[in-house]
Amino acid sequence: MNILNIEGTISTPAISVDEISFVLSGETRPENPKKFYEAVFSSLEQIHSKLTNEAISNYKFLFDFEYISTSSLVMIKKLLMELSKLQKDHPFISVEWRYYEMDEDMQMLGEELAEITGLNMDVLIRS
Amino acid sequence: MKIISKRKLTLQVFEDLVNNEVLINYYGSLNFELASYLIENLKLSLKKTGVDESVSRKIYSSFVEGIQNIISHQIDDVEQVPYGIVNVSRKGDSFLILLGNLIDPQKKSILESKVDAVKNLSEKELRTEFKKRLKDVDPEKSNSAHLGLFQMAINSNDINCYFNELENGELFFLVEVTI
Repeated sequence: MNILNIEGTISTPAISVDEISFVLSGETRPENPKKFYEAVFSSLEQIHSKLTNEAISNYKFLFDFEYISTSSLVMIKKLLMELSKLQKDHPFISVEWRYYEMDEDMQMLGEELAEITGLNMDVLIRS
Repeated sequence: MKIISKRKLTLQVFEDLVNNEVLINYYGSLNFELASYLIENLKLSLKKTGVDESVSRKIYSSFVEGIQNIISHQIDDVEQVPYGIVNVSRKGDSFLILLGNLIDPQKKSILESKVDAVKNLSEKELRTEFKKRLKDVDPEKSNSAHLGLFQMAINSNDINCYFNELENGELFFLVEVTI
């Protein structure tokens, strides 16, 4: 079942949320990140309920960004903080952060965010 | 500080760039849609330069942070037309990013101290401070702990700021990032 499906634009990421995965990809530099990410947090609440009700037993979060503005980064940190809490109750949740091989900053950012939020997240080169 | 007109200031800024290869150039009113258009155009221009991908990413990132900073800190006065200067150019092996806007004159010393603070840090210190600020920033509050300025400094080889007092009492703030 599709929970959220937002097409990517030049300034906002593509978002796809269903009962199997939660995927954000592309560029994120919206005019108002807080407002834009409201729908993302609302979808996360739905996934949280399904996990609590044991309607889902396997779940994957994927972050496949090409660019993140610093104002968006604050929202991404908030999202990862929520995931960290969720992962403590549901350790089977997997989280993946992808980056282009030549994009060391994106790699470093993923590693730092995992450390800051205490999230078990795989930081992997985009294939 | 010499008092000049908006027109003279614009000409002066662009005159200094006359021998540079200009990738993008704009002056006038700025809003998010227009900024997005400029950002996309810069992306295309950077591809044409054939510059190394890592350098291209630094230029792109600094430009986005700077232009978003202009939009979010424009003077909120309905009687005043927002006015910005945006330019990216190449001179030899370096790229120069100029981003300027009108600011509240009372914010001059705060801005000056913020730029001075990042200017005197090494890349390692900047990255450490960026991480600390990212860790401490409260997502529920509106400010982003000046992460954008730190990101621009991390991307750059040098960062400077200039203030120009305009004849009508307005203050123009210009940030110059060299990559």
